[in-house]
Amino acid sequence: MSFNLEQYSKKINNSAAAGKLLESIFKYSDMIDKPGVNLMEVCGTHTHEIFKSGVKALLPKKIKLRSGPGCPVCVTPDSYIDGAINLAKDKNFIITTFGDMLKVPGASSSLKAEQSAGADVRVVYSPEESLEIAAANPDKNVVFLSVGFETTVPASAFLIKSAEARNLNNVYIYEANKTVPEAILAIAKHPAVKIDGFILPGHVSVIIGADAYRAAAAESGIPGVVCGFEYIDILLGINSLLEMIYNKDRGIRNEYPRVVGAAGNLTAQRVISEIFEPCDAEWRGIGVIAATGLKLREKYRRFSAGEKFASVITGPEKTKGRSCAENGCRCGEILLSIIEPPECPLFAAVCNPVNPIGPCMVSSEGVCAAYYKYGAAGAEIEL
Amino acid sequence: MCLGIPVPVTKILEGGFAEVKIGDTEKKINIAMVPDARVGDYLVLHAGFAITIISAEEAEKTYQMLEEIENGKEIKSIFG
Amino acid sequence: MGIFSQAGDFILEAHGNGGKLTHELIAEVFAAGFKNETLNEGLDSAVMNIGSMLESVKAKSLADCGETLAEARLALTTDSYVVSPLFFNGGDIGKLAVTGTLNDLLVCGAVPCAITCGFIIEEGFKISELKKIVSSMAETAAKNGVSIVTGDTKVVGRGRCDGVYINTAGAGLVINGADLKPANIKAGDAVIITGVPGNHGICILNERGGYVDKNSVRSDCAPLSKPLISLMNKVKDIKVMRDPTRGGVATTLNEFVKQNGEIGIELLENSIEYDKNSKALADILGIDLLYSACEGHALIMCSKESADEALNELKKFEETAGAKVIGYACAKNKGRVIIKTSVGGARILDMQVLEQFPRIC
Repeated sequence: MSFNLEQYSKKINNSAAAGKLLESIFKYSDMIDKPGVNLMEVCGTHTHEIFKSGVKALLPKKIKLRSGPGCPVCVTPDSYIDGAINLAKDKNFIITTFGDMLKVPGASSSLKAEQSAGADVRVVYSPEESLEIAAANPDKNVVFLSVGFETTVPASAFLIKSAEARNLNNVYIYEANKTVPEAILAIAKHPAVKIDGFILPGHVSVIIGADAYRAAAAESGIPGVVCGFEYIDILLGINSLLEMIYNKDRGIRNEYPRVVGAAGNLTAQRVISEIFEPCDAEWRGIGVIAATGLKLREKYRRFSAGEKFASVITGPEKTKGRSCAENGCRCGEILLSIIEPPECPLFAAVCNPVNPIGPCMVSSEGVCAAYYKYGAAGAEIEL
Repeated sequence: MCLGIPVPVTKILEGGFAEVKIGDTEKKINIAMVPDARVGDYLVLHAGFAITIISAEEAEKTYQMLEEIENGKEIKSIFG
Repeated sequence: MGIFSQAGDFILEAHGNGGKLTHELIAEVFAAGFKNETLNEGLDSAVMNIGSMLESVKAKSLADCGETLAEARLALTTDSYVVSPLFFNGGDIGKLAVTGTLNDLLVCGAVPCAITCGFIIEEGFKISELKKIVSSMAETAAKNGVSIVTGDTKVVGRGRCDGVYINTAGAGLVINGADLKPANIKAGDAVIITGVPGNHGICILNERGGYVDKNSVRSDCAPLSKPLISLMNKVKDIKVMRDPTRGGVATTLNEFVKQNGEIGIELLENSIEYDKNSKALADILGIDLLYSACEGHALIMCSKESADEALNELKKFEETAGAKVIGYACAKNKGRVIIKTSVGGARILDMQVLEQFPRIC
């Protein structure tokens, strides 16, 4: 049997089925004996797609969608940004990065500002582009800002493997990758966070497999559904999750089986563990969560910009300026869904995409950016 | 977590790469994570890498389920 | 080149100092390229008889811009072009400059009559490249019945501008009775787009990033002289028109609702079509084509009753053969642009705040 894209587009776009799913969602919403049901969208793309598809406007008011820390740029600590800026300022370095990182504010600057001032900072679609840049600039050190969850980690792993195979000695990564399942458990156990169910990431799950979340669900008692990104996937996912909440089911369901398997992509998992090993990681606003970071194994440590260029990263003096939290940014609480963006006093008034105070407003996956763009600073849509 | 658009494989290349069709044009991407990919398979693309092959069987099950939902049958999870 | 050009194909700082090299440049590149009498007079200003302009428009049976000088209204526009790269699939900075100027006049209901252009050129820029740009401008202008009647040349030091920047001004005569502005829009009015949105923006992004084969994504850069003048002649209650350049369709429609203040606009997601390759690339990069610039299309608002007639007229022309209604003005959601989605929900389409970068996760 072969996959047919035209048939897929037609069948997935089923607004009649969507209508029935919405009825079911309203039914469960009424039956669940709570004043409000909190569902956490772990992944930033889900936050955006739920807005973008128009599903947000159709859900019952009792269902509260809370956004989680599933935006890797948003959870990268201030100190990393400042470190990247220090590397960029140094003429010996070419920085390669995904586009999202460019405008994240550090203590007193951003990569974009440094680029405008002459630093060699290049946006890449794939980390592999760093290899050609390194080959073409043998007198410079090319540092890729390795930010992202498990979907993106293999790309960094392959970068290292290729650099080794091609004997390129001027390619590095500045490690900041993070992993999701332990983070979900940490959120589920956090005293200030009250989540009834998790909408689990779609493409991270392709890599790690739906089973990767079972331990967290069993330990926390909070169910989760792996969910795709089309409007029908979102409705299937939310309906399934509400059914589990109603039935007090503590498991994990995979509502995206055309792409996500139980075990995940074993080839990808193998290459990740070949190059990286787990370590503790700092999540902006949340603090250190054990075993949620990835660092290069001993064998590949020579590719670590964090180690080799530690002195450049730290900088000649303590970076002047204020951390975004000192400026009043409440991204930390937003990433834990303790508050939603409109509850932050800076939201829209002071902090907006043109003048972002924190990363949640800058990143295209960021929840503040989503609320700003689609919520137009608090406006309701008359349907 | 990026949006993955299904793209069809048009050619398998050496060294763990393949050509996929984006609109009317071909692009070379890395298939090291899906070494079993064949011409005609649809892949999910992320940052220049294919992360999985879309399962035609599972897609078919999903279509059937959606049709049943549309026809008023009791809604069950795809998960079953 | 004349005897004073010692440096071959390169623009020198001296080409901008008003002396012999400047005159040589004007004669050999600009005058030779733009070929018109007014320019050749070499005066500090182009002097044009407005009565003659009026007669000329009438003679070409283009439109009625008024019977007498007292009735005639002059439209004046200005624009600067700083696109990078200078040459792209579907055009170049020169074609873009003339196109943009013409379209700015046309969407105000004016018949374009004359264009000026000022060049700011980087020292070291190749004269052969400059000639290509000039030729492109001359061709676009000639095809659309206008001339470049006066200009200016400055040269700045190496690294001080991206090769060349162009500033233009355009003058036209407004069609009698045309009073196009956002304030005219009423609830129920149709939103028409003359073709598929966003091709120019994504073409430029691809030229810079090289994501896919450059021939697969093409700028829509094109003047809309014939279709828009015909439309204005045929359909008398066009409320407002605008070309959705920077910020795309979404930003332009937001301008309409903000400048009007009494209405909202509702777009229908299912009625918006895109070029296949542009959409495929946009999806990979996470770009929304509704925010991507168009340089060869217009957004037109007219009464619901006139929409069919407007579409019929537009479809007669190649540039606007893909015209369609994509939404309506409404009394709800005042001051906002909403898009109704395939699932039957809706989301807000706000004004563009930032340029879009490719996303990861």
